[in-house]
Amino acid sequence: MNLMKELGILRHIISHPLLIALFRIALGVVFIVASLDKIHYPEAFATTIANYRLLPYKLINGTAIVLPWLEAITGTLLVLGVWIRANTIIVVGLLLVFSIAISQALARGLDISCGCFTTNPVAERMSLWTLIWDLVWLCWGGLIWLFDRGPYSLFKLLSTRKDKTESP
Amino acid sequence: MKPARPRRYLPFVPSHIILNNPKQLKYTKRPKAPRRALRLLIRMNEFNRIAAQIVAVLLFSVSLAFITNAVRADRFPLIMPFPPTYQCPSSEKPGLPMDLQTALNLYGKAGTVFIDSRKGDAFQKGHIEGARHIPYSFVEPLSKETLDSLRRSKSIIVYCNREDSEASQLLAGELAQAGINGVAYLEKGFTGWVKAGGRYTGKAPEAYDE
Repeated sequence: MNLMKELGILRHIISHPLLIALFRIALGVVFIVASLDKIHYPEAFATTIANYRLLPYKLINGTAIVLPWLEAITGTLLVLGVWIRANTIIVVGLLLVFSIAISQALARGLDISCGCFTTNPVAERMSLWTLIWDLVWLCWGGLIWLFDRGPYSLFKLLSTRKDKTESP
Repeated sequence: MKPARPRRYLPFVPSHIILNNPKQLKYTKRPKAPRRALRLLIRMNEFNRIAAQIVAVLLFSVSLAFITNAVRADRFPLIMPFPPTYQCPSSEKPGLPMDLQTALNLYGKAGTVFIDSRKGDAFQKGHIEGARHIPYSFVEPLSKETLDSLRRSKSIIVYCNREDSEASQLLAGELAQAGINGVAYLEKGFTGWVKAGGRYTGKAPEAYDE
């Protein structure tokens, strides 16, 4: 009974609108930061994708061009709180794909850098911690999907201001 | 005051033609496409709305990515040129070529291995007699067992159907990168081998070469 009560309190804390909005903004910022280097150096990012040996090489460059922009746009929309649920699904989907890619690389023993935040090929090598961090972000996305109903979003902010200006 | 008569919509009449009086058709301006799309979006239920938003974000991202790539000074090619570059275990290079005559001379000698890098069905149809089948896949690195079994060989000749086929070049490059000595790919491939009178089993490659 006590456990249920504690879980209820935990849920109450996590689902606090301000806290969940901060979670959402943090995830959005992470995606934006992750995309910057990749947008700037698509060739290096293409090499990073090729290292995973997951895609046929003819599809690699197209993925290296599109993926960073998708990260940047979904990240920006999450920070602004626009179309939260749709963007959370995209972000969770991307994180799921990254988790699969990292898992298979670890399982096959590929000694490569993950390319999560940098395209530098001599950056820190991928390890089990890379996968754990990815899964943490995945759960983070799940929390946003479950609890964020957008009280601190751009749409809400604009509509509140409009109401205030209209009221006498 | 008399209540306003409700508007009626005739079946099979477009919605922008509104009928107030059965004898008189009243035409109103049809809303423009963006407003119609917006109305449609508002009428959608939660699931459809989220799906539409996901599609919109994906389309916008893909368009922006390709447009940005097209206008930047160092435009990045949409398809990676051959040979593909990657660093695992080190940058990939096509292997060294070996001409047909040298390969024919080496055939049957101790320590010489011919490797067929084509897909399974092509190997089943026909191959160089005594060749080992190791199909090349970009996404599948060679296993440690395969590499260890090749380390004792003096000369390894990788082939596929034709000279311009990428599989044999890439597999030869990958074997060389993995530290196997004496690796080369066969110039003119299996087709050239058969024409030069080399021994083979099954059908000649002309029968199924694309």
